[in-house]
Amino acid sequence: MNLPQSLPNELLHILFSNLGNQLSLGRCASVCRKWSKVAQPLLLAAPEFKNAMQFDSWLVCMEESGVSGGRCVGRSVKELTVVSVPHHWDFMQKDVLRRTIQSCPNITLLDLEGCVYLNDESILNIAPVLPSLTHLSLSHCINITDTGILHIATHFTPLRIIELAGLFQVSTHSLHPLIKTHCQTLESLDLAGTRVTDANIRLALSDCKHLKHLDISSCYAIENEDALVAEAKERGVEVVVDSLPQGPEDWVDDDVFDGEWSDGEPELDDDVYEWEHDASPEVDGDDDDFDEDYEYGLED
Amino acid sequence: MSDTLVTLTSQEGKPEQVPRRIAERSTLLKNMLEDVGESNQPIPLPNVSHKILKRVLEYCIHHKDDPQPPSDDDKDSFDSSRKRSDDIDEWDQKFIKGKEEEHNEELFQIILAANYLDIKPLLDLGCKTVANMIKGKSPEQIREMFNIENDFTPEEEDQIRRENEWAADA
Repeated sequence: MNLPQSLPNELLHILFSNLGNQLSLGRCASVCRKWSKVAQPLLLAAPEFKNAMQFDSWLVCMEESGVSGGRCVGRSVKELTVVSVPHHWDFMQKDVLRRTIQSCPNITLLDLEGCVYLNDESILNIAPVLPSLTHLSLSHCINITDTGILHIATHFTPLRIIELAGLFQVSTHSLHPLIKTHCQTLESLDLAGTRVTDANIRLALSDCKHLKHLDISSCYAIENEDALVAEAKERGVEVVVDSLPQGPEDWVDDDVFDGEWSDGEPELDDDVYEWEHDASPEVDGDDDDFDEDYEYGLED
Repeated sequence: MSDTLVTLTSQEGKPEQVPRRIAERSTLLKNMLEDVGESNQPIPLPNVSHKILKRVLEYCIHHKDDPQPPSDDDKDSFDSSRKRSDDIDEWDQKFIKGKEEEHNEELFQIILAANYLDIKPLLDLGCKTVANMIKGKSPEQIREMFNIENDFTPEEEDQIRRENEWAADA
């Protein structure tokens, strides 16, 4: 037995973690049995996909190993995130989601953000197939309604992180039971853009002992945001209120020219800017005045 | 007090004296020295050969003024984004290269010693170096480089290849 082959698994683990790319990890898994035992779970723990084709070939690999070899390598998959795959919403539809969770029963993190073709029915398929799940993101899966979330409330294992940003159809009907049933474990709750109410948030703040992070951006059913934010702060919960993009803001005319724009002229350079401010500390926003100063500065 | 000498005894029983603050680059030795207090007893290191001990100490002397790395508790977490194997400083690169002819053997022994003595930056350096050697190579080339025996049956090898085929895509 030579040295690289006889390294303790713990060291191989550190070594392979340093590879930082799936291609090399996959090759290490094919070197020898010992390396395979360490490299393969590492490769499968949090697979990353460049495109839909790679996701598809991954899914087929997971399914085939379950069927033919009985090795079920899908059991090693812990974290599944598709949000960075281009057009993930196109391939992550109901049937693919069902196949994925059947092949990978030990998933702890499932991030389906932006899978707009998923609906309530797709959610009914997830539990109780995923008994280890602790982190679920359905943010911007806009076709999911109270029915789907109610299913999560009643059939899912206790979750630590729930992200439902942008689910504008989701309201207190499902959020109240959701918070109630997951309150023992919840650490982070993203409800931005949902129809969550003041009472829901109060419930979360009082019952979720481990809650650390709460997002209530653009929740228009909330009546007294300031009071909730203050209450959350008191509880030591970090609150986000501005994570969703807002509409165009009203033009704020503060009547003071700040020297930032130059009306199509070449950019002001620093000297000129300084000079202009020194010379006339009380800028009155008069364009003509400014232009004069500006010209002068350039000649200087 | 940190200038007191500490005696380390290698696998071969050969003593090596080093200033305490050099020895304390090793978390294992640091903890041992703290537990023992002032003592002139040599510390036996049965897992480290004299040659490798000298090499490890060479590293510790060069890095004697580095800040102590923060201890990390999340050893198990797989976080590929945080680990980068391309930021090795020049001295370290030269150090870990060692002598060409015994490079691989020595490299793995240094990794083992760094792990045993708990010198995290040296362990990282060793692992990053091996990672860089592995990158871009086929399983066959990796076996050849490290002289690893292929102990898969042809069926197993075929299965493993199919299971990991997706990672070779794109």
